[in-house]
Amino acid sequence: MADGEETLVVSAEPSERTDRGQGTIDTQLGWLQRQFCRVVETGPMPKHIGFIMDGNRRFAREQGVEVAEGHRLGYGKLEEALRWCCELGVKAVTVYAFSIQNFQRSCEEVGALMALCEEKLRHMCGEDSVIQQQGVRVRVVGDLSLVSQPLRQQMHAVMRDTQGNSRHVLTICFSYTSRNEIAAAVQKLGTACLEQKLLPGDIREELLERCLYTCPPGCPPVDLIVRTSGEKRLSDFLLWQSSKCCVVFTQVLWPELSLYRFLCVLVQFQRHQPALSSLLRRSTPPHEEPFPSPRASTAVYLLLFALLTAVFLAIGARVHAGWSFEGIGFLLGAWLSLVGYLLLQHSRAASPSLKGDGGARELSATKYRQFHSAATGDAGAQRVRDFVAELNIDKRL
Amino acid sequence: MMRGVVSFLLWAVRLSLLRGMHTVYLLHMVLSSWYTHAQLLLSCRVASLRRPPSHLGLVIGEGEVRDTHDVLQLAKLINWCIGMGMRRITVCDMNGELAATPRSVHNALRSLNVALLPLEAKLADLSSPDSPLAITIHGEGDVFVLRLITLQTGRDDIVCAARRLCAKVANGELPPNAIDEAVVEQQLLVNSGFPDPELVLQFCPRLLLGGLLPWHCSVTQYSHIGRLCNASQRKLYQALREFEGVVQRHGR
Repeated sequence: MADGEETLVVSAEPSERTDRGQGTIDTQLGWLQRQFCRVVETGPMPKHIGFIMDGNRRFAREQGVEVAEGHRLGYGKLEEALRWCCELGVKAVTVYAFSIQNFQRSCEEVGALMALCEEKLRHMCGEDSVIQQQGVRVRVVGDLSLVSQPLRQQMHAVMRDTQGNSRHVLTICFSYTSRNEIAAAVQKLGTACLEQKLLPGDIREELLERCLYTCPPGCPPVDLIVRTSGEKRLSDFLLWQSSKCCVVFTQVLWPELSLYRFLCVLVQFQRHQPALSSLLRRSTPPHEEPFPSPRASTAVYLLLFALLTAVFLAIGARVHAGWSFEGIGFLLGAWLSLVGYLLLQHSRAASPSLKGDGGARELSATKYRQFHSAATGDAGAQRVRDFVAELNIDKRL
Repeated sequence: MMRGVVSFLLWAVRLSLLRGMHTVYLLHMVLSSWYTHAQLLLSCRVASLRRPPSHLGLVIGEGEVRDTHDVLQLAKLINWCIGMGMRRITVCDMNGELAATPRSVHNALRSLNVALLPLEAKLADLSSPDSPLAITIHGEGDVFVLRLITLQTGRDDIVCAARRLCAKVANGELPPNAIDEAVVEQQLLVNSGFPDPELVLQFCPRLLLGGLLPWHCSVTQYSHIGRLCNASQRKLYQALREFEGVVQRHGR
């Protein structure tokens, strides 16, 4: 088995490695779209989202265009989805671009996909691309030995070129399956054991997870997986992570996904967040705190937005529809009650999880340390720390 | 006079026609409803599924099994599955209570004792910590195996497999480059001897998959059918029929 993510030694000048996304964010969203984003943002937000971008071919067939054109539209949608995620403050996005099993498709389609990938990776390096504008660090992971040499070089070029970006992380799973990824992680641990950097008894769930190449250092764990096209299966994507995150199967085809549909998915996630928190509380490995409380500023922003909308509604109803003052009063009352209810729900959803998760995570971290020290001793804990530090350097390209 | 009689007759004919149509329509509604219901029941009873899943997973969410009544409901569900021809079922309990008390499920299954006849139920060896908890029911040339696992079982199984493989590598029995998917899969114990689950029924929040054997659920179909207390034979049948209609392309 080949290395999943190949390690590169980068000798770029410091000036070339500065974060290009430190300026103001322009996600090219309309005013109304940004307001909807602000409203959804008041609830607990996922920090890491995985997308299974399914439905490009079906979309192309429905539209009566070539399959390659469907994939091209799918890439356009990926750029758009990346913009939405940047606007919503999602730190990391992982996308399933090409499975190892996709090599079984016709030579024409595979060739077209590879050519498209090469073209788009080249485009990502350009200054005008959404990747550079938003300060996104790109990682391409998978069994890259299966792809052609020019494409591999292009992948390395884009990883090297975006290495200095730190605002967001885009992980492109190419020539990937989750089983292959887990086997590669075990292989990595096996090599460490052979070199006596680790002992087999040192291996724990968290350590195995750190060796997966979809878990880059400094990146939060996956909170939400979205699969488009209505298929209700994972198709060998993020199997390990799927047991401790939310998964949404949505009916729309990938190129049809709109911001509003995506926001609906996020609201579904927010509804299920207490259940996910409860699940995480019982899990052993200590994670970073995944769901911060809604920011006070966004809550105030939402209230102001609601009041402004209410005033517009009242003026509109009076001037255009000739409503009586009683009717307008009733409308405003209903509107403000709805907003108040939503705010209450969001604060309820976020507050207990914050307290509970923080405590549980602290507790589980302590338990983990105690358990680890008891099982492997201080020397074992030191071995694991050294290995993880080395692993982080490797993964940092 | 004559005109009045004619109009009365016409009115009577129209009325009787309308009544007749209404009665026929009502009869049709009632009969079709009975027919659908009967067809469903009949098809459930004779297990007319063309392709029942060779391995079924059930994910039981937090708070779904609280008392013996809930355990009995789960046993009923398993009973229906046996009746529909399924012989391998893995139950993933997110709370871990069922796996801790497998005898409660076993007793509930025995108390039903309907579809299991003439199968004889007995508990598998539960003393070995390496083997997953399992209830094996043997019949005449027919074996039904039920496994009870927790949310953590699948991940723990992968970690244990990694430890065993790393021990082999450290002892020089296996080169690290030889570790691939097939080698890892051979080391996994929980699902050994079983095919990968083809269908998982979720009795938990819709967005949680429940962590049932992550390695083995790479192409598994998921179906959410509500709460366990509201589970019915009809819902189960509908989920299975939906599964029958799924066509997997496996990346092609």
